Amino acid sequence: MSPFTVIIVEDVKLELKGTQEIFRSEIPEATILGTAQNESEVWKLFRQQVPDLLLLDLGLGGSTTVGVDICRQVRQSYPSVRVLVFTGEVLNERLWVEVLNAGAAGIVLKTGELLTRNEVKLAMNGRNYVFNEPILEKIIARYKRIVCEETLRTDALIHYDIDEYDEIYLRHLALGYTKDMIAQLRTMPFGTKSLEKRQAELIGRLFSESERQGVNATRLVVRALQLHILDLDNLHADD
Amino acid sequence: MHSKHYVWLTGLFLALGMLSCSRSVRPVQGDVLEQLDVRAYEMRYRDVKETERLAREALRLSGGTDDVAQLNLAYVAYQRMDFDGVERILRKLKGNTHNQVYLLCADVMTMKTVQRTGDYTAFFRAMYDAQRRMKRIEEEQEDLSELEHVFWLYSCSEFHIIASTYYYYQGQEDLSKQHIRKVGERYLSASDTAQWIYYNYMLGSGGLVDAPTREEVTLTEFDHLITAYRLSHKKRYLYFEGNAMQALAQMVRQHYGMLRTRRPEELLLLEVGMKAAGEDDLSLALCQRAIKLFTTYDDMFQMACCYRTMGQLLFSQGRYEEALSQYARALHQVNRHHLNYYHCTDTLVLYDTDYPEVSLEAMWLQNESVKTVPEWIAGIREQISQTYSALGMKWASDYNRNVYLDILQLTNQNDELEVRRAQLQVEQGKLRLRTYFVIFLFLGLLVMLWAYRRRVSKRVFSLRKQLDDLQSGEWVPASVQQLKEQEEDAEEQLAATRLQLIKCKQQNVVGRARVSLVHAILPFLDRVRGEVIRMKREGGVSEYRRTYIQELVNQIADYNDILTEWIRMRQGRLALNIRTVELGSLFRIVGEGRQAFEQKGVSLELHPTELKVKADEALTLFMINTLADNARKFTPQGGRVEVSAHTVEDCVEVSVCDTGIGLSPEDIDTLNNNQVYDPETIGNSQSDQKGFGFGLANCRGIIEKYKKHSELFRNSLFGVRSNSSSGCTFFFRLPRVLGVVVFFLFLPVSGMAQSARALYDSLYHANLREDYSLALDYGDKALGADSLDHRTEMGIRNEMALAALALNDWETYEVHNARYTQLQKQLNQDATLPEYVNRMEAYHRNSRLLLLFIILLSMGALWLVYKLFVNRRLMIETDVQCQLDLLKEEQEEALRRQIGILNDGTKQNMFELQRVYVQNQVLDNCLSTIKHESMYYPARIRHLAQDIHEGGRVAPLEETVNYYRHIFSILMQQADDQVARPGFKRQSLSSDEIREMLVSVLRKGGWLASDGVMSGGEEALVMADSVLMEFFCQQLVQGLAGRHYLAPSSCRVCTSHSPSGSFVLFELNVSGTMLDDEQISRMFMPSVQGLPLYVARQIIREHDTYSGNPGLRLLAQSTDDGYRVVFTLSKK
Repeated sequence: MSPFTVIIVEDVKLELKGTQEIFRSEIPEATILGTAQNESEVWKLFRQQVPDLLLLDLGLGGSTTVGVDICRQVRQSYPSVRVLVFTGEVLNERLWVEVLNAGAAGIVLKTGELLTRNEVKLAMNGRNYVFNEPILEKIIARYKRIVCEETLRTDALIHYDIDEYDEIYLRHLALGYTKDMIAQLRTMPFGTKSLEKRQAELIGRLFSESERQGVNATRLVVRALQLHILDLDNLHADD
Repeated sequence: MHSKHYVWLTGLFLALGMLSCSRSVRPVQGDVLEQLDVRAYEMRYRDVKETERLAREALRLSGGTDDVAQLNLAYVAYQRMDFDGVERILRKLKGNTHNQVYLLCADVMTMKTVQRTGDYTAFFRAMYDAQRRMKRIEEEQEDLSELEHVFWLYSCSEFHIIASTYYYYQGQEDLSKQHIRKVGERYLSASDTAQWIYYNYMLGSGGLVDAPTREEVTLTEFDHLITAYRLSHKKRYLYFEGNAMQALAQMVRQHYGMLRTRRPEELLLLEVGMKAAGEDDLSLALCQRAIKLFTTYDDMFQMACCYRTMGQLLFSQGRYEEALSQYARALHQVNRHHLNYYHCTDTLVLYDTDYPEVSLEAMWLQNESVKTVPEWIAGIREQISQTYSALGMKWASDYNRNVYLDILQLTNQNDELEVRRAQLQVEQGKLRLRTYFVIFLFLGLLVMLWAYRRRVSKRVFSLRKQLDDLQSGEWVPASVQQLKEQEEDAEEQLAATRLQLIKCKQQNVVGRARVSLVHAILPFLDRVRGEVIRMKREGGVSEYRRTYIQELVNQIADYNDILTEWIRMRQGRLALNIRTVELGSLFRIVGEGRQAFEQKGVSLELHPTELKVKADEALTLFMINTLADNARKFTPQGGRVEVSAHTVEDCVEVSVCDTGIGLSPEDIDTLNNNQVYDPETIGNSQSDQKGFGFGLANCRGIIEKYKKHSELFRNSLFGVRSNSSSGCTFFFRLPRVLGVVVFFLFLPVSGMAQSARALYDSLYHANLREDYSLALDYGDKALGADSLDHRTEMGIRNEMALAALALNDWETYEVHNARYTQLQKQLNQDATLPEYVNRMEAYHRNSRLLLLFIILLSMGALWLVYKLFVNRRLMIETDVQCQLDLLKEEQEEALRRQIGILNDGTKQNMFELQRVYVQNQVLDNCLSTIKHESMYYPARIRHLAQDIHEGGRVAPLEETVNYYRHIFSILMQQADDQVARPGFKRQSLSSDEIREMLVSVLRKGGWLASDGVMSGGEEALVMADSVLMEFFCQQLVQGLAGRHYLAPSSCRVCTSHSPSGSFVLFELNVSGTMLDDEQISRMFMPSVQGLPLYVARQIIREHDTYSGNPGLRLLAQSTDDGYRVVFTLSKK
């Protein structure tokens, strides 16, 4: 790793001490230009000298969003600067997404091993999506869940014997289409009567014997959603 | 009414009467017939057989049409006590003739007959008829023939005499005297000697003469009797002679002494005539002569009476045996009567050894076809009873007395009539009232209609005025007023709940601030762990690391202390709301969430219960809901979740039992015993839900809180156990509240001992014991007691009579028996005076018809008047009234709607309140747990770190740190779980409002400078939660003041924003207090005293997160003359 300059943004002194020590003992290539506790100090330091790396804590001054702003502004004004987020927000996934959208190169959670040389190296090498293990774990778990749901979806389609027309029908029901309107769809070559028949069959397949009483279109659609036959995030009409 | 109708009818009748009179059936042999009739009439009291013969002759001559002959024959039948015969003849007569006079005679004869038989209904009917006829005939007296005149006078005098006799026997002496006086006044002429004699005899027989002294009375009576006797003797009217002598006999017996002094000549004459002297002999002789006369005359009734009198006389002379034989003869006459006409083969005897259940007399009386003469027999029996008593034959005496009493009671039992009479009386009264009413009503209505017309006009005028007032708001009707008051109440309630809600929310945000402190601890913990990891890697402990770890641990410990302090500070504010909770109603609320269960195909069974516990209602509901939801999550389709409650010693155990997957023994152990555990590890991983969640931990926390709160909850607990079949049961116990058992003490309603009744009982029992003198004593006391009613007195009198009888005390006996008889008659009389029965019936009928007619007429008239005069005005009035009502209703409706809205607001507040309240409690529990668990570890870590430096291993330190972090994050997660639902309300407020909030807080504390409000920029709308912002201002100022960063009149507030910007900036400038960098930077950091400022920071943070526009700030900056605090809110 070639030498580089870094500005550390951190408002808790005790944390700063630890972070500085990490740089000192593990990342000798780094030169700490300065530390900032808030926005104004950040810009002051930037005016003095633009660093190669910005190590950014998100929770400054009690607000979670200052960090995101700083990241965005730095990335806009100084695109060459690599921004690596180093934050204790171990649960705020929304914040992670925001800061990634704001142009951060990666996120390191202040847990586990905290910041290691590895992550800094990756960031400096231009890699995007630098994550330490704890955050990666969470991301992967989320990812797995989604994939699983996808699988669930495929499984459900097979298990409940849903063909493409059933899926189209259910999806459009969910969007509020009436049977007549669905019968008009280009992708549905059926009349209203056959659609009614189809609905009855669907109910028979998706509900057990005892549950079939009084099931209307809404109930049917909700059941389809519960069984992952329909994807709530992917409801759109065909036309 | 009455007069109108009857005048008309009377006229008609009179006309008919006159016609009939003139057409009186008198064939060619008119004179012969008349002679026969008159003769027959005259022979009545001499020789009845002759009367009969003559009458029959007349009848034969007239071809069966002679009225008078029939009347005479009727009399004959009467004398012979052939009462059926009398009825027959009279009926025939009534059917054939129209002659009013003879009809009157018939009525009178009927009266005589039925009086004898005791049929008082018929008596009064006949009496009434007779009276009516008398009135009619009176008007036409001049037109009567001689014979008719004779019979007219006879009838009238007879009428009054009979009436007088009746009233006398009923004990109504005044009426009796009235009637007899009428006889004397009007109807007597010397021509009709018989009636004259009868009149005198009546006066002489007692009770009808008024005189100043008793003596005078007796003497006057005696004179009358002598007159009667002399005349009847002269005229050989055997009937009256016998009667007179009988009466004289009694009088002589009673008043011999006085008579000797005052009427010596008459007495002497009598004595000479009877060839007897002295009271005993004379009276007996007189009586015997009377008997003889009656025997000749052959009048069974009179004979029996005479024998009775004889018996009485003998009794008074102490000749008891002889008296009895006289009585026996009297009874013999009675038997004769019954045998002759009713073919009764049963005979009366002196006494019946068989002592039948129902006496023969009673049977006769109750047999309608047997026309007994009750008084006749009663009198005899009474005397017999007395006599037997004198002879000491108690049993026989009792027998006779009972018969006597029976007769007295039975003679006048006419229940049916009583009812009918009462009915008719009521109806008649009503009808009469109605009729008068209708007439008056008609007149009244007429007048009223006129007045009404005028009133309506006035009303219309006032209504118009009212309408104007209502429109202008001058008048507020009562209902509107009421609603206004209700509205005020609703407003108050809303305000009250709003205040409570605000408090709760404030507490909630403070709780959330504490939670964020907990969050602040975690990074340090992670740092420690990071250092430990590095230590392990390096294989040693550098000085730097050790120091750093110390510093970190110290910081953690500090924060823990701060947290502890902050938690302690709130003590007393988050108090539990302990009261009696009805589990049954909570179950019902839980049951409302049935849908969720049904959707999953799990049945939810709630066992209704009457049990009550002492607990916080909101928290208990929360616990049951949590457990039920958990059970639902872990029970597959087709399963069952049961919620029930039962008692366990002094607690109530609420259990939620499911047929779900169940838990392993280790899990159960963890749940029951461990304070801290990772919920993800509990429960079968086959469930598709996200683990148990913190619900159970929260429930346990609540129970722990109860236990800390008071000794009352010492036996409360929370736990879980596996079911024998499948699934598990979660349960918690809370102290039981016993229902209030009310014991009703039934006080026996002890009736007040009615002294009279009690004494009567004693009297009765004394008699039974044959202690007669004691009985008499009791009786006297009883008679003197208060609360003596007639019935009781009757009973007393009877018993006393019996006692006196047994003691042979005839005087006492007479007194009591007489009173008893009087009471009995009164009693019967009240129930059996059907005077108006017949009269009423006819009257009633006619009156109703008339009433109907009048009503129809009046209605027609009224309708006409109304139509002509009143209708139009009413219509106008209705119209105006309608308008008025409409307007009123509009106002009411508006108010009601408003009240509805307010109430909804209140309900909403209550709902939120409950939710926030529970959240606060649970959060509190979490924080307390965190505090507890965290207390120990920092010191331990510090210690271990020290150890390493001195050559120890890293492993123990690593272990401890890991473990600490593990439970810490679990607990933090639990706390977060509670805070997950934001109570944040997005509202648009104007920046000026926010500024005003801050300004007013400053002003209240005196911190505001005189030019404290600096307006900078126009107003803008911000997105904020008003409750939180108010609290923010309070906390900010409180925090600054608490640190002495404020001085009086040192603060200024201003707002600013740029038109294109998305924020509004608020500045609080404080002059005169200089702060150093340290103070500035640490202003919003956690510190022991710094909770208010930390809360302020929390509030801004929440606005940052939830107002949809991140980037809000709260910071402090130094200025030239002090410092300023700046915060931003997002623009709408």
